[in-house]
Amino acid sequence: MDWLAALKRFTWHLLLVGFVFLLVGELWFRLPWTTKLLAWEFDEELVSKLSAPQSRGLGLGNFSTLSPPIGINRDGFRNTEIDWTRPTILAIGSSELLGPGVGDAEVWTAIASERLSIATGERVTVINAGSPGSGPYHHSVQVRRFLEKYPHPLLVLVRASLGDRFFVRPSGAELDAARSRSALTSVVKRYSEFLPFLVNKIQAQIVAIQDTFAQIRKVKGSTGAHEAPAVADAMWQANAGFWKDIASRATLSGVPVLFFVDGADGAASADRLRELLSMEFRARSDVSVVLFGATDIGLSTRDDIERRRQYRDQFTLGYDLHANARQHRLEAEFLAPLLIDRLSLTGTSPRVTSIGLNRARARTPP
Amino acid sequence: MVFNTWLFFFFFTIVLALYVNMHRSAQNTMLLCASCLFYGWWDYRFLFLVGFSTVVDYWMALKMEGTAEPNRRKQFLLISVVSNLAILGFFKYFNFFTDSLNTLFANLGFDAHSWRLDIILPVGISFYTFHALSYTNDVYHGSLRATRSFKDFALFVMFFPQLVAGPIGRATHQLPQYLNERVIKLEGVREGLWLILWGLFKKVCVADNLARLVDQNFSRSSELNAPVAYLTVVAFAYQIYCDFSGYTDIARGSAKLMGFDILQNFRRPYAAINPQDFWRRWHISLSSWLRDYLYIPLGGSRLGKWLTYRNLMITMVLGGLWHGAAWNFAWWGIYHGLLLVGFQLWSQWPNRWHAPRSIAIVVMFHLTLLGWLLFRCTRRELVDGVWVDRSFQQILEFLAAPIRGFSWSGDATEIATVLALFIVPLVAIEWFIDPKREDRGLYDRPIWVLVLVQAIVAFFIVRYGVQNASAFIYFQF
Repeated sequence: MDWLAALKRFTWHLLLVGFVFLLVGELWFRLPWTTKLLAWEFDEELVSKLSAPQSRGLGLGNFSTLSPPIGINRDGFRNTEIDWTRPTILAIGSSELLGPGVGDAEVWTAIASERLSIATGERVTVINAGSPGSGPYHHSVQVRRFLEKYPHPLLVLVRASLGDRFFVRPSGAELDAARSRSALTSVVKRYSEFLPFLVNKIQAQIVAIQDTFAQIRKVKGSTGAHEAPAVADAMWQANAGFWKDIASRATLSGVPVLFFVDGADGAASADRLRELLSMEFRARSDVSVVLFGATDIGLSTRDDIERRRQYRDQFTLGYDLHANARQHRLEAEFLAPLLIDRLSLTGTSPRVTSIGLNRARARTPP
Repeated sequence: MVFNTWLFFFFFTIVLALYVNMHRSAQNTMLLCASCLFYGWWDYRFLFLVGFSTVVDYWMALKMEGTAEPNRRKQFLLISVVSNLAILGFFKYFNFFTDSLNTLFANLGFDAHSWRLDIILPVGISFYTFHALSYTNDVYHGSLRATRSFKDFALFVMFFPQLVAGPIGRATHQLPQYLNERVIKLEGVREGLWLILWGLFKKVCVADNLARLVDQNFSRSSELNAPVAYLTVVAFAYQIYCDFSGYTDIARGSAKLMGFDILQNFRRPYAAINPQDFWRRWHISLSSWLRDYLYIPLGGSRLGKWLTYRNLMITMVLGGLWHGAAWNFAWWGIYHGLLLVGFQLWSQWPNRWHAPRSIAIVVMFHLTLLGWLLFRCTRRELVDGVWVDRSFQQILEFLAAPIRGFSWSGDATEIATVLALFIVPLVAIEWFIDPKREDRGLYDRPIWVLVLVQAIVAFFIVRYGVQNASAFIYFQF
């Protein structure tokens, strides 16, 4: 009987702690100096997209403290407001492109914009259309929409990363479920800042628990499998259609395409993906493929474990493998001269004049 | 299997559910099997090593008990000590000593031949070796009777909450708990749950968030200026404290839920006022083990001051090397030995200045920081296929940070923000918990304080906890 009474008291105590926990959370999320979490909205094709405009951070998983605010402009890109009368380069990709964990001015698209502008003497904007959790399907949709809506860019740069292979085209059922969820979510968000975060966190735990049991069943030693070239083959099989779609749409609009394969960690699979993309587009003069490899960031060791360790310590956010500011700077240093060269972007270049013609033909900005 | 994973959560839930429905003997059998599973999860081959140590120590203790002849007893103790230390020495120190000898021979102009072996270091080997050695030592000194039950003794060595990172148990305190009936009280359950929550906060909020910055800054030590270098070392001090004490808290909390009591391992170490005080607060189970089984048998402070200093230096250097087979741990041990010797000399000086407590804490904290710098500088580089130790160079790079300037940068703001975000609640809550009352400390406060503290800690874990199950630093020791 004593136990029962004590258990009752303990249950009440837990309930009280839970209630205060919710209050503390709500209060904390409303404090003016705490970073608010990125807001998303439902999208009929992509399931979700970043709400625009906003300046918020990522707060799940490993972005526990330090996701500096991610500034999304009113067009939905991680840029300051874009002057559409001036030349642009469209960069498409996943979170690796968006640059979580680095500031708006440190992300490589911002640095590259600066360098291109200095080189040309004209304001050139590299548009950061990175979207976390997106894959080649999502990128093809984004390119289609961009070309329909905005003045044509000088170039479409597709950042192809092996990590994007997990993000596939949503099924009809997934879209329906997301649609019905979004209505409820918008109501909750009107009244609470903390609850949506908590729900996301719980959803993340469900995935983590599923992963735990999947790992128990899995044969040991399968970690690091993304480095195997076979992974690139599988990704190519599943996504080649979307990449070809991006290339043909861009060609129809007279815009060249650059596939930028992310292989900074030195994974053999990235080189294989570059090879597959190069083979596919070898006859196309307006499509080029480039690999950003380990040597481009100064990692030369052949020892796989040591190279991975150095890569993680020096070029990523640490526990999270997204690129840090240093890698973003190196990417900008790698790409800026390449873009200047490929597009003949010099102050007196006739290409800049032709850009002006393109702009004149393009639709009026929204 | 790491504490801060769902895998451990499910494992422990099942163990607990079985445990509460069993009688003592079945509980011990089940806990032994669970401990084997817990440890074998890393690598089943490690089980043979811990099994070997367990059998040898069990057998030698019985042999000691069976004879009254001092020489025979000493021989059995020696067999236990030598066999345990031989395993530890081979698996942990073989490559360190051969590499060091190779370097020495090469520097003297002789042909160096690599004797390096491809050895995997068994997780927690230093912890369970010392844990088991405390038993044979206590039996030898007559402070404990040898147990006849192999199962209960094996559980003492392998009890999973403390198997891989301690605290290093003392047989006199812990063994009777396995031999007698345990009583689970609601009070113990409450305290156990709080310890687990508090340990998780220290690990996934404080230690893991600081680790990211610490790792990055230590990997670019040649670029850091004074504020960033200083804050990085402060961050490491709190990272290692929260990582290790977080593990201890979870271990103690898990044990409490089953009715066991494991000794405290930390008592606000950064509130120490001198080196001696620091070692009464930091890794208490190791420092008391070294005191009782190394420093005192060497003669302690009974043989005059010079031999006392010698004993202190031997104890601290071996204590440093206990952490790992690398020169940085040896430097750290030497440094703390010198601090202790220096403190002894200072204490004997008649005209010494008695600093106010707050100043003493600040000075001791900064002396500790210098020690952590030696401890954390572990840079190794692969040169022509051979690993070269660059830890000393890294230490110099850190110490040269003032030359690179004192300007306050974005990096400094970032690290200071993270430190403030976590260290303020950590210190505030530690201040609330009366260390003299141990785990009851928080429960002596008014109910609203208790509820608020628990809610804030839970919120921090949910909001800021790093969720990718990094291993605890002390697993490697």
